[in-house]
Formats: sequence, C-alpha cells, structure tokens
Amino acid sequence: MIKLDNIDFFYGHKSILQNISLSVDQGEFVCLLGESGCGKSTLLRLIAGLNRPREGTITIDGNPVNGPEKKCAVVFQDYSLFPWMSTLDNLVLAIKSAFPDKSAPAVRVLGRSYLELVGLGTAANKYPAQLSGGMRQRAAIARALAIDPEILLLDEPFGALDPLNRAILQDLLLTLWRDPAKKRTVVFVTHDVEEAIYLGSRLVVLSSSPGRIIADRRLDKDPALNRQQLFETLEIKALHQQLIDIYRHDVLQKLEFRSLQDDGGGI
Amino acid sequence: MLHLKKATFFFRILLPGALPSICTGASLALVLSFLLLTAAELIGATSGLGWYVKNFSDFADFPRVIAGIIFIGIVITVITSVTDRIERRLLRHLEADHD
Repeated sequence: MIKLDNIDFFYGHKSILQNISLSVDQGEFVCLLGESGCGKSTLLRLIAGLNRPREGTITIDGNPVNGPEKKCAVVFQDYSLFPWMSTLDNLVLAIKSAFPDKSAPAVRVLGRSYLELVGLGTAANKYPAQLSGGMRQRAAIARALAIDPEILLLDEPFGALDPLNRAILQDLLLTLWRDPAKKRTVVFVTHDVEEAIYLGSRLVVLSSSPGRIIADRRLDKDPALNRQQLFETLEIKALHQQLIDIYRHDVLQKLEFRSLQDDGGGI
Repeated sequence: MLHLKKATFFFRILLPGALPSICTGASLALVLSFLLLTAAELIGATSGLGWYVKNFSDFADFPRVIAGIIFIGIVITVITSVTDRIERRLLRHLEADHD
C-alpha cells in the first residue's frame, strides 16, 4: 500500500504540490490526471523516491520512502532505454540488478521471455535506435515488468505514440495488470481523460499549479467490455463529462485569479 | 529501479553514456595537437615535419617544401579517418536509426 500524507513539494520557491494525501491499495490502477505542469510527474517521482517532499511523508507498506525504491519500476515517456545496449541487454541489466543470485543463462532466458510477452521476441538483439517508438516503449515496459515490481509507475508512457500503437499498448498494459497471479499496483500519469477512464480503476485529478487533489473517483468497470462498448455506457459518458467539467472549472478559476491579479481588482 | 554496483554503473552506464563526448573530444584534440606540434616545429625545433618545411623554405627548395606540406596533409587525413572509423565502431548503436 502506498500512503502519501500531507505532501508539499517546491522547486526553489515555487510550490508544485500542496497538501497531497492519498492512499493507494495493492492491486489498484490509479490514474493521475491533470493539465501539463500541475505536478503529476513530480508526484510520481516522489513515490519512486527520485525526489523528496519538503513536507509530509510517503510510505510503501509502512516503510518510509527515503531514496530510490526497490519495489517500484518506472516507465518514462522517453523510454529511457540505454542506447548502447541491445534490447535484450537492457532487460538483462535490470534483471541482474533485481535478482543478483540468478545465473547468466537464466537471466537471459527470463529477459527473452519478457520480450516475447510484449511481442518483441525477434527484436532482442536490436539496438533501441533500430526500433520504432512503440517497440521501444514495449521494451521499456518489458524491462519494468522483468524485475517483477510490486508497484509500476508510468509517466505518460504512451504520450509520444501514434493512436494505433497507443491503443495496442494500452490493451497490453491492461492485460498485464489483470494478471491475477501478480496483483500489481499501477500509478499511471496522463492528461488524457479517455485514456485514464479506459485504463484506471481509480482516477485522481490534480488542480493546476500548485497541484492539489480536486477529485478522486473509483471506477467499477466490467472488464469484458471493449473500448467502444465502455465509452457507450451512460455511467462512463457521465464520468467523462464530469472530469472535463472539473478540468474546465479549474482552468477558469485560474484565469479569473490571474485577471484579478493583472487588473488589481483583488485589492 | 536499478540498484547497480559502482563498477557496473561506471562501465555499463557512465562510460558508454559519455563515450560520444569522449570520442569527439579525443579526435578534435588529436588533430589540434598535431597542428600545434607542427606549428611549434616551425619556430624552434631541430627535427620534425614543421622543421622540414621551414628548413627547406629557408633554402628556397620549394619542391621539398610542397612535399612536406602534402605529407602533413596526408598524416592529418590518415589520423582523422582512423579516429573516425574507431568512433563509428564504438558508437555503432547511434547509426542505427529506424525512422
């Protein structure tokens, strides 16, 4: 379980996150939504232990996060594969660091099996530069899964992909998350409302800078529904509109505040 | 999250990551050092290619001066092509763009 308690974060003097409290249960698929620059990625980095909050505490299974967290695997938008290693070697390095006792052949077999899981069995010996964007992102997801993390943190992983690849990888991610043997927790950052609704079991909306939680909705979706069927249900249509309204209201409030500041009306 | 040993981190991540900059710096430094060496030899040396060109220009032996200049050019061309090949070999992963 991930628990964030009254988190405040600043870059210099600029407040990025304000009073964030959130509990994520094991097996949840939480989508962090918000406009660009609202602090979603910062929140993800705080959970991963890549940054530290100025105020508040973050715990994973009751243990405070004080540095890069072993239980977490992170997938970034820009893939973050090492360009000088083949796709398989990228996985091998991660697996070796997670399971130092495994023999070299076993590590390679495990790496290959994860590449095959994401449909990259034939690209094992290719460099990342020889792969398309979608293939690179699949490799990054395979690397994250290969270390068998309890928590998967994804920072707009499909943001730079074309719609077809994006849909394929979204379905792949859902299939992997639904694997009953693993029961992984996923925290997924996106600014795409439809993507969040399609993937998430819980949606957390952050306000524009400084980021505060302005909505937290749990979704009860029928996993048998495909994408089209899901977005045709009345509940999802209503939720979609609700989230858009929350976004709009937040942006309008911000604009109003700015115009008050500009013309001195607030004095 | 990768938790690597220091040696693994250095040899598998830091060094290969810095290699493009190291290669660029090394090839620039090599050519520049040869040019400066030759220039220094023009002033105060008693041997070397720079001295060869300066010495024979003092005696107005222009065929040898031209031969010296051409030889300097050949040496620099060989050095740059060799370092270029080494660089391409070391950084072959950067030449494999898919798009």
